[in-house]
This record gives sequence, structure tokens and C-alpha cells, in this order.
Amino acid sequence: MHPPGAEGGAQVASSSNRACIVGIGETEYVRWGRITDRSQFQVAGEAILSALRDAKLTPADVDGFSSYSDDANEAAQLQVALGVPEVRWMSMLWGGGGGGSCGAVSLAAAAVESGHANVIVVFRGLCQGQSGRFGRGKFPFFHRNFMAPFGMFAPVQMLALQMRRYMHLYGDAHEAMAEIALSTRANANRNPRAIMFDRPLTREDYFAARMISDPFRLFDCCLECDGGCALVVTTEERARDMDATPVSILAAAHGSGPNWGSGPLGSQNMPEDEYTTTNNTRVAADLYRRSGVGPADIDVAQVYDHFSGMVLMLWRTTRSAGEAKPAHSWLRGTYGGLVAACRSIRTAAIFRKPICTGLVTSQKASVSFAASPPRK
Amino acid sequence: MIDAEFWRYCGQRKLMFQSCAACLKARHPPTPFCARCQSTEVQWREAPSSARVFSYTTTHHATDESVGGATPYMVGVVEFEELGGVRLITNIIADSVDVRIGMSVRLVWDQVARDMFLPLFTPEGLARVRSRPDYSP
Repeated sequence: MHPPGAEGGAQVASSSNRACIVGIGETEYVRWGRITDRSQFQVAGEAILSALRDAKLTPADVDGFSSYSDDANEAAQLQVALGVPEVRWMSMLWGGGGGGSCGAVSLAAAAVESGHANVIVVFRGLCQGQSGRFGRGKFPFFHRNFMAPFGMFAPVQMLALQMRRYMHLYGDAHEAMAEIALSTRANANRNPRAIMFDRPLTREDYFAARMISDPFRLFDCCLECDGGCALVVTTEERARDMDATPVSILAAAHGSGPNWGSGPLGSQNMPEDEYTTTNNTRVAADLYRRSGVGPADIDVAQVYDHFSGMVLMLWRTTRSAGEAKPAHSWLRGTYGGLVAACRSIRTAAIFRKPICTGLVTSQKASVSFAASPPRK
Repeated sequence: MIDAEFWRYCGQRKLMFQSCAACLKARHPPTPFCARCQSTEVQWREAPSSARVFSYTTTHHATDESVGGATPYMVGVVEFEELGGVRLITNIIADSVDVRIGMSVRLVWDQVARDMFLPLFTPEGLARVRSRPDYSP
């Protein structure tokens, strides 16, 4: 028997029923707690309606919902509120944070390619002033009772432990972390929709910022934010009848290695040889194999940037094996300022146009990082 | 999450890990099944009094109101080789300059309530053992 996505598992779908994205929608993105004029549920619905407008569709065309990070906005209630007549697919990628976003896309893609549903909205609506902050002690992490007594409450502390060990294994990475934080901010400064659009960051600012949980300084940490976003997923065959430009999903994957449920956001009992991998090794391998696309083919990579150091770890595990260059030689910011929202399942998806990979790992939300490898 | 038994032992100043009664594999945190043989029979094995530092971080920012006056403090992950590499989150009581990954640390108990002790660790041979950050979880 093959595990899902292993040799002999799913391959690229035939072109007619291959999944594609035909619409995208967003609300405003603001600092956590700043959306007070309407409910988190309304925010989720607004994002979905925005995505449907982009696809030139209406709720009557929708027959499925997919989300992640235990999004609190139930599909059946969104169906009522938005007036979706019939639902054939409802899926949730359990747990995690922003790391689940591409996984929710993978669930939607599997559903449309298998014929379970025709048009699925992938959504996330989050208002942390209403639902609670990820970065505070009250968040109900599964292993909280083995962490909180020792003053470990927040992801920044949990992931600092991996970053410390990463530097023990691979050498000091402060300069690379600074590069990631600075290029992320520069990307946000180019995006009027980004929370940090009008807030430049200098190298001096970065190194002068207070330490949060070493080696993470203030600007190594993502923002906690409020907002909603949504995608519309259907098949290429159905997209031909729509007035929208489809973006093909060449592959989408989610998954986890052994014991990662007791991993970074828990008791830190994931496998030693994977401790600093962000749990992305298998997902990356599945993605490349199923899409037929390799690291050298990718023009734009959008990487979940919950903490700067985790971007570095993800680079290590998602580039072609055996490359000797240090991970940070690959970094070059190109684009950014969107919100992913959310935590610990590792997910990834490769889209065409240009070939873009959303590689999403652990924890929370904010201004997303994007980079591309230099063209050879 | 099954945590009562672990903390009941801590209240007796015993650092015990849940283990499979059938194949003896230790695990943490406790779960209803052995991941190796799926047995639900458990026994509790006492940890040795020393462990190795797997990783650590000094927290400077209070991420919960309860630790507002306690920063900075060090959160560590320690590993017990004798128990198959089981790891425990704890506080390492030392200055960060005295701590490195792989070093041996020994168990010290910190009384936080009349009948509760927390298992903390301090570098072997460190002459002065400072007290744990003063906060109430």
C-alpha cells in the first residue's frame, strides 16, 4: 500500500478536469483587533463574495467550502447566510495556522478533480479581537498544560527553540534573518494593501529592535492581523464556460511527518533529524513529483513568513537536495504584502502563471514573504 | 490531553514518563496508545536525574500576563537518552552564556504550591542555583 502522494499515488490530473483558480477576493487587512464594526463571520462572507465577483460567479454557482486552521466560520452557516442552494463538499484542514492555507486549496482541488463538487470556495476569516490572539497565553494549544507551567505560551517562543538548534547545526543566521525581515518589509512597502505599506524598515531598526525570544527580535515576527480572503476553485473544463482567466493548480499537497503533532507547537517531540525542517520535506517532494516542476522552474515563491528563521528552514528543505549553497544565497524578495492567515500542518501548492509556488508552513498570519531564485 | 498523572507524580517530586507496558517505549506527552504497538496498557518510568539540552531560548517579552514580572527567563527542551530520546519542555536555570546545546543538565525541583513542584534543570556543576522566575502559571 502506498501512502498518499507516494510513488504510485496521485499524479497530475488530465488537463480537462484539472483544478484551477478562477477568482480571488479579500477584505481589508488590519492589525489584530481593529475590525470591530462587523463580525468575523461577516468578514469571511465578504471575502467569499469578493472572490465570486472576481470569478463573475454568484453563490448559486457554489457547491463546496474548504478552510483550514479550525476556521470558526462554519460552512453550513455560510451556506445559509450567502444563499448557496446546495453543498456537496465541506472540508477543513485540522489545526495549524497559516500553514494550512495551501492545504485547504489541496482539499478543494481533490474534490473538484474527483467530481465530488464543481465550484468550491476556499476561505479564511479571522478577527483576533473576536476569536482570540494566536500570540498570547490563552490560545488553547493541545499540549498547553506541558508548556504553560514553564512560561511557554506563544509561537515565537516555540519556534525560537527550533531556530536556536538550527544555528547550532548550520551556523549563525542572524544576517540571513535580517535579510528576510528587510525584504519582506520592502515587499509590503510596495503593496498598498499591506498593513506595513507606509512603514519602512532599515537594517539599523532591525538590529536595534528588542529581543522577543532569542534569537527572534521584534521584526523577525509576523503581525497578528484581522481580515478575510478567499479563492474560487473549479476544473479547467468548467472554467472554459466562465468569464474568468483560470490559473492552473499543477499540484497541491498537505501532510505531516511522524510525531509532528507533538512538534513545535506542542512538546517538541518531533524526530530529531527533522527538528529544523518545518515539517516540509515530504510535502515538497510530493509537490515536485506530482507537478513535474522542480525548484529551478519556479519564478516566484510565496513563503509563509511567520518568523524569519522559518523561511530559512523552509528554503533548506524545499530546494533541490544536495545543493551546497547556504540557504540565504537564494533569497531575493520580489513581491509581498498579502495575508495568509494562521499554524502546524505543512502545505504547498504550485500554480502556473508564472510558475508560482505557495509554500506555507507553521504559525499565524501577516505580510507574506515572496522571493524567487536568481535566473541562471 | 492526559496530564493529571504526570503532574500528580511531579507533586511527589518524581519525574515520570508514561511508557508502554507491553514494549516499554516511553512517550511524552501521555497518549492512550503506544504508537509502536498500539497497546493501551501503560506503566510509568522514572526519568534519570540528568538530561541533555536539546534547545533553549531566553524569553524577554511577556507572552502572558502571568509572566509580566519574570522576564527574562529561559525555556529549554531537554532530552533523556535513557528513555529513548523523550523530550521535556522546562526552564533551564542559568545565565544563557552558561548554556549550550548538548550539555548535561540536572533535575532540580521548584516548589510552586503546597503540593506541587515543577521539574527544572540547571547545568551540571553550576555552583549557584538561582530560583525559578517568580510567576504563577
